[in-house]
Amino acid sequence: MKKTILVIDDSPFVVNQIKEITAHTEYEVIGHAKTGEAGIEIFKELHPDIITLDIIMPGIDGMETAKEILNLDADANILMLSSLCDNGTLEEVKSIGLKYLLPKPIEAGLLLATFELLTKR
Amino acid sequence: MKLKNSIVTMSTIENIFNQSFVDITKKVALLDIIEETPTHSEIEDLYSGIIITNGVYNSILICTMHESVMKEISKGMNNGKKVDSEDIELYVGEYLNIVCGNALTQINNLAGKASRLSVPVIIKGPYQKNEEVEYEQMIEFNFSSWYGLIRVNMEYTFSSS
Repeated sequence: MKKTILVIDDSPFVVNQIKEITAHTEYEVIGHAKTGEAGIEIFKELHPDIITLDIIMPGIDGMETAKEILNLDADANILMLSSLCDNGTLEEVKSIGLKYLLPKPIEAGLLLATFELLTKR
Repeated sequence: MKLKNSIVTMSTIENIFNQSFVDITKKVALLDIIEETPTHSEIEDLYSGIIITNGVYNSILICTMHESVMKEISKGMNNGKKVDSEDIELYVGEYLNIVCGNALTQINNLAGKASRLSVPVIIKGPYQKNEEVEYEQMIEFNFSSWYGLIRVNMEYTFSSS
């Protein structure tokens, strides 16, 4: 059975990239939300194995969205994606209890390796 | 001319943004662009993309380009397939997000302090900047591509406080 992914990102480019990278792998994108608010609702409904989360979005940002999801499920596997990947942003991601922040544009090998690390916890 | 934080000079910022535009446009949009001397020539049927940064690096970046360049950028980002007209602005917004995020990551790491990006906004026509907000420095880049010009105007203030 494939491991399921919810993509929370306002960019169709990113969701298409992730779908393309995960085609013919053990992972499958089962949902896409363009805002944090919508992403939280879809998370409650679908309970995906992995959530990829953009930081900069309209409405509530990725950090706030991650906190909300972790409040619902402390074991949620969240991978933050951002074009802004400086040391300060990484520290901020870690401060809310997450481990992984990947830069955009997404590198396929890095994404799949991080999925594996996330789901092996 | 050196800015208040001596590690990050005007030249550093200029080079970082210049290289980010060239590298990311090639990598993400599969489009080659070359920097040219600013000409201030008219760009017809233009669109403007606006990104604002806040923090130690306060700036407004306005990227103007012809509609044909936007279509080509979105097509390159979509594996060479034409993008529906209602999605083109989303693709170009993400393109600008990645270019500016890439540049700002480098600036933040050099400065040792954080600045943040706004969600990019794409509008048809030129953007009228709020003249009440003043910045200390200004940079302009012109890039040419096979499909048209990309003009970048950036005003910024870099503060170590």
